[in-house]
Formats: sequence, C-alpha cells, structure tokens
Amino acid sequence: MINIDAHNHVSGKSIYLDDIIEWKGTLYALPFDVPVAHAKLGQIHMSGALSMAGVIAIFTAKDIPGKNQIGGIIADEPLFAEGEIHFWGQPIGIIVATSERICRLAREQIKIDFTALPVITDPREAQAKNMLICPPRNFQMGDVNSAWDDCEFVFEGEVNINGQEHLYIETQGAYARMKEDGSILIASSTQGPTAVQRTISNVLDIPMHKIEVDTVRLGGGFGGKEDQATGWAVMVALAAQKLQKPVKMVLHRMDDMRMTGKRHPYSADFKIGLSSDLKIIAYEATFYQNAGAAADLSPAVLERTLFHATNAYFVQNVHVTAFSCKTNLPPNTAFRGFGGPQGKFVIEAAITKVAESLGIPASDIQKRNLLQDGDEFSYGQIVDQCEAQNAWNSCE
Amino acid sequence: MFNEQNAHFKKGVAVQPICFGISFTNTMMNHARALVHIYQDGSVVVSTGAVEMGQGVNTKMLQVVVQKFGVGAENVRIESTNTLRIANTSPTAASAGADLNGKALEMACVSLWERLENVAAEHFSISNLKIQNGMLFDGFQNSGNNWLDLIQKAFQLRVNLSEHAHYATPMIHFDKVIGKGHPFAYHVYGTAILEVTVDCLRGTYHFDKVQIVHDLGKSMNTHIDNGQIEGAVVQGIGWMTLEEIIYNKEGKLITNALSTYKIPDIYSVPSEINIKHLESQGHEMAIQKSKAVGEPPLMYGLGAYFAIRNAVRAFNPDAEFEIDAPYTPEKVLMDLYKGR
Repeated sequence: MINIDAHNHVSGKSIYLDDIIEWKGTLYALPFDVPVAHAKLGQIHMSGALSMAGVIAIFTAKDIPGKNQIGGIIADEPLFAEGEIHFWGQPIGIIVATSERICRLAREQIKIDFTALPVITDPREAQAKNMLICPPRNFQMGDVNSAWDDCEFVFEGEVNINGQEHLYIETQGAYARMKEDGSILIASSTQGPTAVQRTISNVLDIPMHKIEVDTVRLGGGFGGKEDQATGWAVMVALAAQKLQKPVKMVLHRMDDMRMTGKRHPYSADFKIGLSSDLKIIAYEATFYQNAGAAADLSPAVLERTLFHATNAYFVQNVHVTAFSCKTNLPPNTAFRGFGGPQGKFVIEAAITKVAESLGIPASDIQKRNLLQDGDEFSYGQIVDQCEAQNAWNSCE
Repeated sequence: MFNEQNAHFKKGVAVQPICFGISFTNTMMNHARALVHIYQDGSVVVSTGAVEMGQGVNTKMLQVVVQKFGVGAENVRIESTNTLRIANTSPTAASAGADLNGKALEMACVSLWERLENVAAEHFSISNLKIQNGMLFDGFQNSGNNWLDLIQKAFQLRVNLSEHAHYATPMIHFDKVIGKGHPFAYHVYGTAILEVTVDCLRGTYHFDKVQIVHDLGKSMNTHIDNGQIEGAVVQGIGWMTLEEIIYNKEGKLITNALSTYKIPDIYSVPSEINIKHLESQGHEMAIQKSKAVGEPPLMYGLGAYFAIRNAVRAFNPDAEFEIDAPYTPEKVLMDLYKGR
C-alpha cells in the first residue's frame, strides 16, 4: 500500500499546523531572548514595544499563573528565564500582536539589561567542575580490570562527536484558542501530545481535562518535537488564556535553530583489549555528554548510549560510564537514535584504531565479534533471534 | 586496485553492522491506546496515540484495520492524535510508535470482530466469518451479504460498534539501580557497506554506493520501510560528513541557518543505495511481525566516517589522525596533507 498521505503531500493539500484555517481574531506570538549565553538578568524594557500599534501584550515569567517549569524528566527548566539566562536563545517572554510582522518589529524595541557570566560549552570542562545534570551512570559486566592482563592487544584513544540539527521542514509551532469554562484547545506540532497537555496543566494551573491537544501531522520531528515542542505550545496557551483570544506561533527557521536543542555532542575515552585471534575481551569507555543548560531528555539519552555501547558485538568484560554535563548551550534533546549512535560510534572508532595499528581491515575484527544467540548484553538481556551474522553474511 | 591506479582519487570502504534495542528504556512508557468507531454507514474511524510525522505510521495503522476487517481502505479514516480521544499517550518516539499503537489497535479490532462474528452467526447463519473486499464469506462460501449489511444489522441489534483498547508491552523490565534487566522487546539488526571516493586535491568526497541488508522481520509495508531506511541512512551520513554545528566560545550558534548548516541534498546523497531485506521470522512483539524501522538504519551512516578515513589513509598512510566527527571536507583536506 502506498502512503495514504502521498497524494495530498505532493499536491499540497495536507494540513500542517500553519495551514489550519484561522479562527476569527487570531493573534500572533513571538518569543524574545537576549544575545548572551550566561548572564544575570536585569530589567526588561518593554515600553517601546508595548507602545507600538498592533502590539497587544508582552508576557514574561511573572505572568505565569502556575509553575514556571517545563522540565520533563527533571524540573530544571523554566518556560521563561527568571533571574538568570543559561543559554543563548533561552526565551524570556513572548510578544503578542495582531500580525507576525508587528511582533518582529516590536522585538527589536525590547531592551534587556544583563550582566554576563562565564560561559562553558565544553562537556569535559563542565564535568571537571562537577556541573552535572544527574549522577553519572555506568553499566558493567564481567571484570575489565582483571581482563586487561589476558589481552594480547590493548589500545586507548579519544573520540569527539558533534551534534546534529533536526532540521524538520516544518518548524516548531502551536495554535491555541479558548473553549468554554476555561478549557483550551491547542493544535501543536508535537510528537508528545500528552507532554504538552501535562505541562500546560502545570504552568497554567488548570486540570488536564480542560486541555485538548490535537495533532494532525508533523512536517518532520526526528525527536526534535518529542520534548521541545512543548514550550511553544505552553506559550500560546498562556497567551490565549490571558487574552481570551486565539493565539498562534510558528517559529522562523533562524529562531528555531537558535532556540532549540539538537543531537547531543559527545566526547569519549575508550580502552579496548583483544586476544591474539581478535576476540574483543574487554571494553571500557567514558562518555561526556554535552547536555546543554537543562536536563530535557538527556538522562534517558545518556542511558541509551550505555545500552548500545557495544553495538552488535559480544564483549564479555564491559565497563562503560557516562556523564551528563551541564553547559551553556540550548538543552540538547532526542534525535533519531537517542544516544545510541554516539555509543556505537565510539566502539567503531576503537575497532578502527586497533585495525589501523595492527594493519588489518576493521571488518576482520567486526566480523569476529558479532553477536549470536545466547550472548549477554552488558545490561543483562540475553540475545535471541539474533540476525547480526545473517545480515553480515548476506551483505558481504 | 583503483587506489593504485589513481594518484588523486582514493576510494574507501567501511562495513557498518548495527544492533538496536526496541522499547522505551523507561519501562513505564511502553503502553498505548486505540479507539475505533464503526459508524452505522459502515465507515470506520480510528484514533491512536501515534503521531504521523512523515514516517507513515497512519498508513500502517490503516493496514491493521483493513486486514482485520477485510474492507477497502476507503472505508477507514485515521484521525488526528487528540488527548480527548486518546489519553495518557507516550510520545511517538523510540521507533516504537507503530508497534505500541498498532498492537492496541489490533486488540480493539479483535474485540469488534468477535461481536460481528456473533451477529453474522445469528443473523446470516455464517459460522466461519471471513470478509474479503467487503463481502461476507462463510469460510470460502460467499454469503451474498456485505459489510454494510452486517454493520446495519449489528446497529439494529444495539451491538456496541465502538472499542477502546490498551496495550502494554509484556516481558520487559529494567532495574536502573543495578543496570540489569530485559529492557527491550526485541532488537533490530543489519549491516551496510559504504563506498566513498575522496578527491585528494580538494578534500571533497562522494559516496558511490551504500549496500544494506536490513532486518525488517516481515515488513508490513516495504514502500514505507524502504523510505525510512533511505532517509535514515542519508541523515546518518549527513551527521558524519557535512552537518557541522558550531557554537563560538561565547555560546552563540554560528551555523544558524541553511546557508551555514549543510544537510545532504540531491547532489550529495550516495549515487546508489541498495536495500535488501533480510529473510527473518520477525518478532511476536512487533506489529504483525514487522520490526521497528524509524531509528536503527540511521546508524548505517556511522560507516561514512570510517569509509572516508580509509580513503584518506590510502593517500596519506603515515600520519596519525584524530577521530572527530563530522569528517567535513575541510577536515579531510587537512588530514590528506597532515605531516606532508
């Protein structure tokens, strides 16, 4: 069966958030920030913007009726910055106006006082200063320390992996309107409608049964709208509740790229030991995850790095450790693979290093160590219905 | 051979096996719900917790219903994901959207089917109900009645034509404190071979061929699954090659637009991507034994880094190189002439 959306997609008939027929009286919202990654916030000068024709309101942290908090796993991320800025692009508030263009012009009129603080962008530097999102995690199987002596070859090295922008074609956006009795309908370009509903409930201080989140489809998500679609939806819901008018926000590409988190960059150290017949006997790795300024989904991403640290290989002695490091970057988030790709990249790099040092193809080592039924993953699950060797053999 | 004959172009090859666990590693998130209404005109509307984001989950949901009821696709509509219709959803993520929501949908359809079987037995004397192209069969015998007759009779008899079902992945568990358990419903496997040619004067490169053998189990939709594999491998290659995020020391994003952040375009995707489906039995915990496909194939792209590195080493065999992804053409050029 062909994709049921195929014809509507190619003929432009599919409805995305920005295609929803607008309700009468719709207002437009735009987030504003300050060009600094770490600072003490001073006064926000809004009078110039507020006096512009078409500007309806500006909302900041002090306008929030419930909790100024959108953190999913850990409550460490305000909807609007309060007192301090922790990353370049952190929303301080939103402007609501009768058109998107007026919002943009008004944004230029907002002046914000701040005192810059030291900025950390490197995860190893953050870890050295004990700036961690959550306690370190580690997975262990066998005993690496006693295994090194049994190894014919032992190699160590360092790996760096950069992040990745989701670049969904449809940028972040949401559209809210009031129903009766303080109920709200929010159309949201989100992978997690319930997260949107739950967070609006906390921030607006209304029960979940008064919040209807509706998602027709997304123009791409890739993980970037698992947790990070929420904030924008909360902002329009807040404005709709305050103004009793429909309010819509669709981010400009450059705002989206600046303000949202991405795939986590990682730095890592590895140590790998093999027998003379190229069996990997021991593998040790330490991962430094660049989480950005708040937890977002980083602890879960960190865990998946450990789950997949040995990729498709059986290693009997494994010790992998991971630090989620707090830096002054936008909070990094879910991205297709969710930390798994970074974990795999490091062991592939380790195998490459061994192969280059021994002057043999990496594939000799890879093939020798592929998983098979009955093997155990470092997290205790037993391998069954394994297709690693079948896939390799049919590809060769 | 190519590398011996060409001074300024070098080919590199890497093999990239993958193994990826399917399930949210936070066990409590592995459940989903589905709501099915059959209206009195025989049309069917479906809501699940799955969010359509281009991955084709709605098409797979529709297939579940069509295959269970034996009616044409035009009879079934997949509605938006809505918190009033489907409560307490997990995000559509972890490659698990089709599995979790599809299993819930299957359960809802089975309950409705059982009621319809009773109606068919009592009022159309059909003891072994099968529906094909909307016609009711008793085994292989066409009864002459159709889906609409069955639904209208059920409605007259005040049979409930709506069903809401809940599915929670069985078996899985994980103890975070000791880091042991059985967190994944199953694993997805595969292997890719990536071939690249590096222009050793410019540092640019092009992927000539990516050959993939991927374990889909029993794919319920090969068009959609191949699309997911192609998209994922290209996204993975992009991450390892062209896509470079740069923040300056002050924490400002420098690559803040499409002019400075490059994703693969039609010119930079591999000339050839061959996908072969591994003949495997599939897994009971995958929807219709069709294994999850969203994330795993992205990791074939990791091989792009190592393929380029092998080509660079063919040109400059004696230097020591860092491992620092992505391997942009700038970094490739520096490595090609490192120590020379």
